Amino acid sequence: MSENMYNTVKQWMLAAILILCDNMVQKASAQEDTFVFTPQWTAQAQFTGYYVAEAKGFYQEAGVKVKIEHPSTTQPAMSRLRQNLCQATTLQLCQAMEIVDGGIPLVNILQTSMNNAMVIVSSRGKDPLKQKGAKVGIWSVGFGQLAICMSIKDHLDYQWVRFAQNVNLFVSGALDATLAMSYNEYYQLVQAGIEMTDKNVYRFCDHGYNVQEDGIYMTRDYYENHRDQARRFAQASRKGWEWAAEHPEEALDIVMQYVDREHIATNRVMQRLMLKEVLRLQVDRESKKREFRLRRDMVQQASRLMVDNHMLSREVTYEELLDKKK
Amino acid sequence: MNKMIAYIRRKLSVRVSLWVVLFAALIFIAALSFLFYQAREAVRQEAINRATQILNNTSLRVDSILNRVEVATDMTGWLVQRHPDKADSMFVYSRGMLQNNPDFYNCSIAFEPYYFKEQGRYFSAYSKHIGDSIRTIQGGSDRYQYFYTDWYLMPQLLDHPCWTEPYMDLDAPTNTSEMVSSYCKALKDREGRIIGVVNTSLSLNWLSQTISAVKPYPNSYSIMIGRGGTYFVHPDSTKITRQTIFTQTIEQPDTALVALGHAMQRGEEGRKRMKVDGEDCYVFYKPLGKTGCSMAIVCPESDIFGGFDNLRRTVMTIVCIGLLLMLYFFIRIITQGCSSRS
Repeated sequence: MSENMYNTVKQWMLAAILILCDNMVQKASAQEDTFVFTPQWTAQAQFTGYYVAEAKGFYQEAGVKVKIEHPSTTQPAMSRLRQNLCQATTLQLCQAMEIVDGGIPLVNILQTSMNNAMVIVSSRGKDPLKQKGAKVGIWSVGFGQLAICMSIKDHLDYQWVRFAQNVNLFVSGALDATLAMSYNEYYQLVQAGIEMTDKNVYRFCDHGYNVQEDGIYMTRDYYENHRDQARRFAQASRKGWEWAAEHPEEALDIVMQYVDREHIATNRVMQRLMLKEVLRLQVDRESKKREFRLRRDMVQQASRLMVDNHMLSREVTYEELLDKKK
Repeated sequence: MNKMIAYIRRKLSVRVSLWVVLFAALIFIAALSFLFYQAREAVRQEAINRATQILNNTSLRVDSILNRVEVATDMTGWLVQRHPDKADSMFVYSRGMLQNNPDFYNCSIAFEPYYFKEQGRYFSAYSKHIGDSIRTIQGGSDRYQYFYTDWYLMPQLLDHPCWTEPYMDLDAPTNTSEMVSSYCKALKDREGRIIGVVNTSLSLNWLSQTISAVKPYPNSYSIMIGRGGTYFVHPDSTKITRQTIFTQTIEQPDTALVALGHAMQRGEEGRKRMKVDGEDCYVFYKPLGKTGCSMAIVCPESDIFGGFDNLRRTVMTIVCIGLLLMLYFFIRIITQGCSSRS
């Protein structure tokens, strides 16, 4: 072999070794940097896919070292994102739009919910639409934007009473009605012996307010510098959800491990009902499929509603919530 | 069988004896049935009286402690409303509450946002027993926004003092938690505007132990539920704070259990006969003061009527054996009498 050819081969081999080492270092450093993920509420079946992804090693396979840290019931998950205590969180679409409008650009890296889960439950069998001026419970951590829009639009003038968690205020008779999620507080009320009928339960999804809810969001700054990590995390999370849909009872076992670890006062019956409802909400009404995507029409609908009711200063567009380079 | 019937028809002694024994049996059945029915009723009434007395005694004990909490909290509220502008005094009042009442769990006097502007958004004079001493701090933060808690909102919304549903109170500095219920009263200024809430908590450990110890029969047990039906006392500890009395009826409908749950939630007092875990039971229930909680004693029928059923079986056995012996001897006597005449 001539000297030139030898040098060329030597250079190619060096280059190959360098590329290989660089990949290994990147993957190693990506794994070493812990990615803190904060779901928007305390441990429960609403976040089954993420628990499954962690427990089954989907995050590890994807090369992302994930730590799931839950917020407290009086501190919004978004405040953890703002303070850089976590790299990603779940938010409802309307909540994310408010935050974007407030000056913090966000990117939706995975949309899990395809339907709206919010309901209003009235006391004493009354119709929520006939309770003008009623005292209605709303979460203090920031859900409920659609309900506020509906109250303004339909001239119901509800008096919003912000509560931290659970349904005690409603059960004690301190409220005329309360907002509830069809997968959580709704079943808490069922467990409290409250009778649920078509008359005293108003479902937003059935009255023209079927706007998507839960998705995973990152600040745009972080996303721009960690695209690959975000993609891998989102893919592994989606895999976790798909696995949970195919193995609901096993997924429930995993959920119960997390709720027990976090000392959450709940039970398997409640979590089974929650998981079943959350999985149902992930199926798009039109396509009948689990799509895992943000829908442009729903973003537009939510944006217009919130602008019309002065909850946003301007429309937040579909493109603003997604990866601009796609 | 046909041979036996033919034999009976041939033998006068057998026929006569059978009629006599049958007649005697009818009399015994009538008399014993009446006796057993009355005896069973007496046993049942005794069980009712016993369980009711235990419920009343427990309720009285609980009421006396709850009343002390209510009176002490009302007094503290009165003091605060006389001097609502002195922030430092609030620490003295909340600490004094615990010094004068060592069995209270904690006390907080919490105010509306920025009520004391120099203290910031959150101001809650919070005192708690820690071993032999009392820790007094300023509570409230972005991580614990007390404005949205049950104890802060309920008295304002209901416009009267009230007890909260029992909850697990987490003490962050010591990372310990205890099940408590809080009596809370809204504080108002001279114009009637809400300025804050005073709240006194009582640990429910002693209540749990008191109720759990109630056991009129060997296999009976006690439960306590809150307004929302949540179990706060139950022999199965995995259900405590995690399940309600209605939880199991969601997947396995049980109209009797649902009816019991609703009756207890409405604060009713009474008893029900129903199946609990497949066993016939009497359930006696009574509300606990104004807490919104209700207590019940579950007594299996096998415990209540166990002794009575044993007695009944023994007596019936003796009667059956006696009638058979009577039949035998009547046949012999009549047969011998007929033989001697012929």
